[in-house]
Amino acid sequence: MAVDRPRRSAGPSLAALLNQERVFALALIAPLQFLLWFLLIIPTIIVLYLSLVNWQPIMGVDWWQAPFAWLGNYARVLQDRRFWEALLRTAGLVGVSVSLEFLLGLGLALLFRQDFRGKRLLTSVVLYPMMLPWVVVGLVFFLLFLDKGPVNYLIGRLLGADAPFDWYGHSISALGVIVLADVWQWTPFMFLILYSGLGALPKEPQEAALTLGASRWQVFRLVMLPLLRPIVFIAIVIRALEAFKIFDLVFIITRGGPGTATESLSLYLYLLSAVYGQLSYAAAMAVLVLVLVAMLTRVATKPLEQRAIR
Amino acid sequence: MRILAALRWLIALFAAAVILLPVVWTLSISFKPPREWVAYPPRLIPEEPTLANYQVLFQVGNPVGAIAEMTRSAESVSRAFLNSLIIAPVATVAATAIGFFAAYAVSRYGAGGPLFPLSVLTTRMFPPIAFAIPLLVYFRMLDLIDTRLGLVLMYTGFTAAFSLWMIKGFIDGVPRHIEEAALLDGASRWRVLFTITLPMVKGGIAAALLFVFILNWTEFLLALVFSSRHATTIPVQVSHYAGAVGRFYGPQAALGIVASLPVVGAGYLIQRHLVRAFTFGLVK
Amino acid sequence: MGKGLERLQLTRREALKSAAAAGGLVLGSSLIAACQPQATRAPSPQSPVARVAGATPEERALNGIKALKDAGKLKGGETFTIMHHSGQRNNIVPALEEWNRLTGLNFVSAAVGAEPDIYTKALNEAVVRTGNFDIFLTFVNWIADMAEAGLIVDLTDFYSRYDPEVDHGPNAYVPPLDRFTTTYKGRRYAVGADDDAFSCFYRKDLMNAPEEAKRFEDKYGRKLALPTTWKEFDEWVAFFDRPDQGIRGAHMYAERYFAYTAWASRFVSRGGAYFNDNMDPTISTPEGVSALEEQVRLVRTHMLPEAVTGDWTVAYSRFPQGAVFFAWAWPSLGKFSEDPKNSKIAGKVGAMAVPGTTHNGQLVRAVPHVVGWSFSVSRYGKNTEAAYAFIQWFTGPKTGLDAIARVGTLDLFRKPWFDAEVMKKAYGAELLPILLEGTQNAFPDISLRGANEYLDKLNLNLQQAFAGKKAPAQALKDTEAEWQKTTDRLGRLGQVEAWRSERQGYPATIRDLWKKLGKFPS
Repeated sequence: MAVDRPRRSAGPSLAALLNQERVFALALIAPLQFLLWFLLIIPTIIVLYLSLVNWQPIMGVDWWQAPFAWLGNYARVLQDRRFWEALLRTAGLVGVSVSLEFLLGLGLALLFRQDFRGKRLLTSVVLYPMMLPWVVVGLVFFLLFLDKGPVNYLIGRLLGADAPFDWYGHSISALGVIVLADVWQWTPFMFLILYSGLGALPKEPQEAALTLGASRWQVFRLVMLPLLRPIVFIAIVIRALEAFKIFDLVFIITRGGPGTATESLSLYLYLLSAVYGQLSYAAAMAVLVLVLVAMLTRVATKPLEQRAIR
Repeated sequence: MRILAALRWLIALFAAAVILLPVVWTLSISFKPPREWVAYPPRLIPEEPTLANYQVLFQVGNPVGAIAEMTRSAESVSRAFLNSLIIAPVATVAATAIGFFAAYAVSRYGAGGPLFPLSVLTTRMFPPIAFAIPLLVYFRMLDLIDTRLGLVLMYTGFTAAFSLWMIKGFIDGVPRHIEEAALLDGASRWRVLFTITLPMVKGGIAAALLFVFILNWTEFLLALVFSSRHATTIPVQVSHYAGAVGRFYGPQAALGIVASLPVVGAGYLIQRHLVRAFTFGLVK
Repeated sequence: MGKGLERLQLTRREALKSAAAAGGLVLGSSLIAACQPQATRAPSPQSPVARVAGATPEERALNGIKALKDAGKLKGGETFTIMHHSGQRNNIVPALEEWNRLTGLNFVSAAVGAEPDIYTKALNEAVVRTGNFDIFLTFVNWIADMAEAGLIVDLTDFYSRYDPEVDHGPNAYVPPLDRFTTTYKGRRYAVGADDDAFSCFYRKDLMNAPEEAKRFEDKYGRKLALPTTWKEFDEWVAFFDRPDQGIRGAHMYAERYFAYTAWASRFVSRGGAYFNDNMDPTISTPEGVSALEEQVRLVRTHMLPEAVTGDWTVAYSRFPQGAVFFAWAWPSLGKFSEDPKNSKIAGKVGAMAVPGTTHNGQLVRAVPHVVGWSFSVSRYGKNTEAAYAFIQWFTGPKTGLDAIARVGTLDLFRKPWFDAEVMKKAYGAELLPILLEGTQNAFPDISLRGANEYLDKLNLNLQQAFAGKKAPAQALKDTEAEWQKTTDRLGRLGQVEAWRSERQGYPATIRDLWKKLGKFPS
């Protein structure tokens, strides 16, 4: 434990008060805690309330007057095939994209660890995709993979193939384009965290290991990776949470089609709340998703907590 | 070793090229007149390059083409730019600052209990669309709809989770004995925080700043729902070039490129802080 | 049998729900009334009407503003906000400037990007009532939702006091636009500001090439002519489909948003209707299934895959590029393709009427009116009468003509405008009579409460059929099942009333056809 060193001063001054361990810690989390309470408490109550009633704005009654459905909305979600399909599809998307992003991001971060000519410029280039507005990323990938778009044109030229491939006509290839766009846009994020994480590693243990005759691979695996682990965890958790909400790219590239073949959970929730106006039902679904994701995240971050306690 | 360095350089160059391809295509579209946007066979270099897509954005001169006429209006992107230039940086600095404080308290004192970081992270766990209406109802009570302050508060609250987690990861990696030694020397906790810990996690803070800035700069949904005339931001403006006659690919691409420039600038400035931090701290 | 029982139970449950919703205020009034928001319940205050003086709709609108100001109900310089789509700025913003000059008020534009966002934002306003918007310019078929949500006011009284000359006199709208762009459940909730009857465009140069006539006749045993029926149309498109020459037969929407258009046109021209009088869907009928089978065949054999999976801008690109022989879309595609700045086929574009179906020697055309824009007035705005006055002024015979003639996404809707020189210049003299005829045969999108949901479920299933992932009959059956759920959730009684009113807005030819086929006996 940190040593609580009492400073000799005349009486309990404010500075001394703020220097007390508990007060210090509370003062540090207070801004965040209060902001979140301020932002979230009332809306959360409203969401929970909405999820228990049967309400759409177009029913012509105010939401606080809507008839109760109690758990009816939740039961409906559990029976909703489109929900389960979207959930599984989204989980698959997250798995594939985040793994690829992690591997590519780690590779790039290792590559950029040493100095080389033009590194600063190239770092900017590598970081660039995540700086573009999402509409534009979706748009460009959509256009690239059009039936009569540049990619098919190049394939046609290279292979001499006559029939261009219909990327958006099949769920797998359409999802592939979405994954590709996501990986393109968000590998830079993995790179950003892992690159700065690698930079923060102490150099001595690595140098020591090298002098002791360890190979570069051994140094990486046995010395760097364990030290990097908390940051790797955090990068993956953050990225997975964001990827789970994937909406923009799907919305622009396929609109979830053909039919619902590429619909993500967020797109379904968007249609439910913004287009169908089924706000109660969407609220129930969102609450269920939140509970599920929170539980998964808890499991995933368990190792981190244990480390922190050590 | 020479060969290895050359190889490294080549791979980096190749990666950059792959990353740049879609960007180049975006640039190409932004200089094309409407009839070339999805021309077949596709051409990288516009047959008749034009600046019209950029001119539309700023209402400079009298741009040519039907598309330009349709998107012409009294309202240019300048207000959206101004709003974004205020909202995103303010929210980013605020989120990073409170995230950093909280991260330190959590990492060193377990403040808020073991579940606190996870509870903060719930703000990122479900799609904002499902939360938009309740939040809208609440902001109506507070009279914060269509104000910059409203967006700043939301952006700060919803991105602080990331700065907390990212920076916490870096603080966890800083050995405590350095801080403890300073405390024993009689430094106050605040002094230790700002003069010992902060410099050592500068890389993490820089990464968090950049990432949070990007999130705030490109956020669309909340901006759309919570703005009507006064608080419109750049991403909302980009969506204005999606019309009933079709999407205006050219102006959208152009605005995308223009909108990314401030982030590129921020990224370039922040870059050198990404890695130097720790070596700086341990040099002694 | 079982189905009927289920229906009965649902209706009862609904009734209980609406009773609960009204918080015990039902007091024996009819259930339908209980489902309504105040919008339809409140009796209007201005009932014995004093008509506003003035010779034209524009004059009356301006006089109305003057009267409001004189009565102290309206202050000069007051700000009114219009929510509209960004593509309409060029139509609206110059008009606003003039209106503000004439009235001394401050009307401002608040543009929204993608169309669905307009719906979202309007419905949000129904919930939170900020008063940030006074006027909405939205899709025609969102009027029902906005009215039921209590967002917009019933304009019927303003119609009688101000007379916008929508359905009578020399300046009337082209029927049936006068009805279905303005009316919900028999009341006026909106003022139409657009005509979106779909139009057909083809490559005149290929069609008129002499060698084609001979080849066509050899192949089909009849003269090459513009097709009038869907059957002829299918052969015609197949004939001009030349993949080896880089030109495909047609581009017709089959994607996620507008997949229903061509199918609906075939279906309705056969005498089909979306629902019966009890709001049971009637699309998985022989008319519906055969219409879809034909359209699926056309899409899958004679179109680019982009018709199914591309976004709808693609049609506006492929046709002007010369990559397809035929395209159908909004009237502006014609303007767009004749402009050499956008198009490689300027001067080669022909326009033709939408094909139909022959019934006992009589040709019935059913032209989908896709989207379309209407003005409505927010209940939570500053002054509903002043807001209405602007709408009437903007859509008036003179100001409207000027506003529509400027390039933008609004198209002409008053009958005399089809002869106006400025329109001939904007649309081309050839297209206007065809567009006029098409408009007279135009039928509305599903415009019930929950229209978005009905249409989205339909499109979802149709797109699967067009992508070859679902059999046509199954796609329609699945849609029906979804529609039943939607109807039951929203309240069947109210939907029945709305649908009966809505089908009065179909063109006379189609209503006659329904009668001949014995539909809708009530």
